[in-house]
Amino acid sequence: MSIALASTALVRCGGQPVNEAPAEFPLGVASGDPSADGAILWARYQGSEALKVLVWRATADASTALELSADGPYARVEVVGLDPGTAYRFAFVAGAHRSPEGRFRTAPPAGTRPLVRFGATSCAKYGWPFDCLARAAERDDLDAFLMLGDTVYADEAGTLAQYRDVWARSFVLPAFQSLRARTALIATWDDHEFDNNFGGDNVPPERRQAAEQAFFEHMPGRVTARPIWRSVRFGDTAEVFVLDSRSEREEPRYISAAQMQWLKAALSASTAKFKVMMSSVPIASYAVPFFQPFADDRWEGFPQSRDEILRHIDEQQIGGVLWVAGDFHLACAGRVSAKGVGANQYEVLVGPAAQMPNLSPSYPSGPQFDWSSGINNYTELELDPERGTIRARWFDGRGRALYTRDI
Amino acid sequence: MLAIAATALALSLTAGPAASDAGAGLDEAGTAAASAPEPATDASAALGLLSDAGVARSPVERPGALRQTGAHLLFAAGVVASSLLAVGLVYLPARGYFDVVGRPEPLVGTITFVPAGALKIAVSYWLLPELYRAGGGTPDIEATRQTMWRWVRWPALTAALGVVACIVGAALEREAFGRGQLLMAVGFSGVALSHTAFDILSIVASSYGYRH
Repeated sequence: MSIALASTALVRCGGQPVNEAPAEFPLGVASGDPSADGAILWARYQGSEALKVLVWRATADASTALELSADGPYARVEVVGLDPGTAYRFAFVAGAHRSPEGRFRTAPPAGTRPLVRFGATSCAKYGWPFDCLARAAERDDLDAFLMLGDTVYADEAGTLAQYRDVWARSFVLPAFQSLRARTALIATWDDHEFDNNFGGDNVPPERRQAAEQAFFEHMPGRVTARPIWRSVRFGDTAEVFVLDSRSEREEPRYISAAQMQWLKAALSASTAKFKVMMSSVPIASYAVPFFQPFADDRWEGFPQSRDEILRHIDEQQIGGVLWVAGDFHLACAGRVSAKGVGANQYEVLVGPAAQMPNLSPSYPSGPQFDWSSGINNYTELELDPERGTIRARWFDGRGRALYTRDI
Repeated sequence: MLAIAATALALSLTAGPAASDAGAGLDEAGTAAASAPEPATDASAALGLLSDAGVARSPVERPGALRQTGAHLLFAAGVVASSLLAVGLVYLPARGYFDVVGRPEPLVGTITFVPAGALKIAVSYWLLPELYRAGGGTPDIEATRQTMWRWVRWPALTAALGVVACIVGAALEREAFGRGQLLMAVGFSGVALSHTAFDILSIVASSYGYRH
């Protein structure tokens, strides 16, 4: 694994004039998994000079920047010691070469309940217009952007070099560069980062390892190896539970026993007002003929695991749970179940960001579902602890609001 | 258009030998001169939809094998073109609705089967057999038409039933997600299979009618 974890020691840097160098930083910069005092900073570096990263408050100028050393072609630096709930800028520097500028916001501190706003999407296939990502990149009011998987479509890749090429061809595009530089990402994977309908053991180990390495190289998360499930906290407003709905499947379990045990315990222990469940694949029941043929590829095809987590939430009366998923190539808002276990839980489907719409001749609608759309989109989730509601809004590539739902 | 097609279908399915006689003399313009035309006695005769049994035919001048093959290919191309036209008539309104609203509307996607199916039948019955004239000679177009129709009327009927199933299913689907999907799926399958059978049989039967 060529990811280099840099020293987290913070050094004051005076800042010096440098030139932006796309050749040295062909995929721009990114940040991810923000905490109350830092984040993961990332850059693809193609150069031989010593690399460092500068971090400074968004309201100040770069002369006040902190300096951290970085290393490797897929440079990954954990910055700590920052102020909570604060916007920062950063840039990588190698000699006289400087990367494009990135920005992120540290999470609110524990014990506070400010309004938190996420962007979210899924399914961004190279070759389709990335205007939704470009629109999302215009936002400067997001605390983080949730990537629900299928960030790239690497179905045709087999070797590490091929997987890297697939990631690079998407991330070199301006829309992706802008979004990744603009807001900290919280990402999970779905099947197409590996292969279509990837489910754990249906991809050869060597290929799977190459796909995983390419994912970790390109996504600025805190994890650099499996398991990828984790939670990211935003004060007492929200806790984002990042699930691995793909690589730990083993009949009859949809997710591993360890992941299930962690999830149930973490949910029960969470003091956050809202629990955002990032599952790349929907957990809602779509027990209808047009969707039933694909049930084996989602939670619904593994009723034991699905019932276990939904029942835990119901029986423990864990409030503020919102399931967020992608994969379906349609946006949707509705209850997880029409009746029975999960009937009081809600799920929103985000994306597709850039894909062919779902070809089903009928989309989810009442009484279980409130809305659905096949227009490429990104979603805004506004978590307001004062009102006790999550406002979900879907936007198309022109920035037009498609639907608003208070949950 | 639908009313004409439905009437044609119904009359054709019930037509017997006696009715067939009434159709004598309603051959193509090019062959009518050889027989004494009699006035049509009912609507079915006026539509020219009856069996060609008993129809007096003029001598048929056969073109060469190459030109016959060309005529067959032209007819087959016409079948494909009419199918594409029908599919377009179904797809484009549904796609237009989707582009505006962002989701499919089951009723839009199924009601469009009606004009598309009617057009497909009308073109297949009235227009496509005429393409055999391009092969030269004096082909018996009416015999070709009637032979084709005797074969394709059954898939036309099952397609019509499939369309009805689709529309009823779509209406149910609008009431509750999933309620009409099974019926829609059955209807879609019926329409697709019937359409395929219609096209294959129309090519085979018209070829047979043209050659005999």
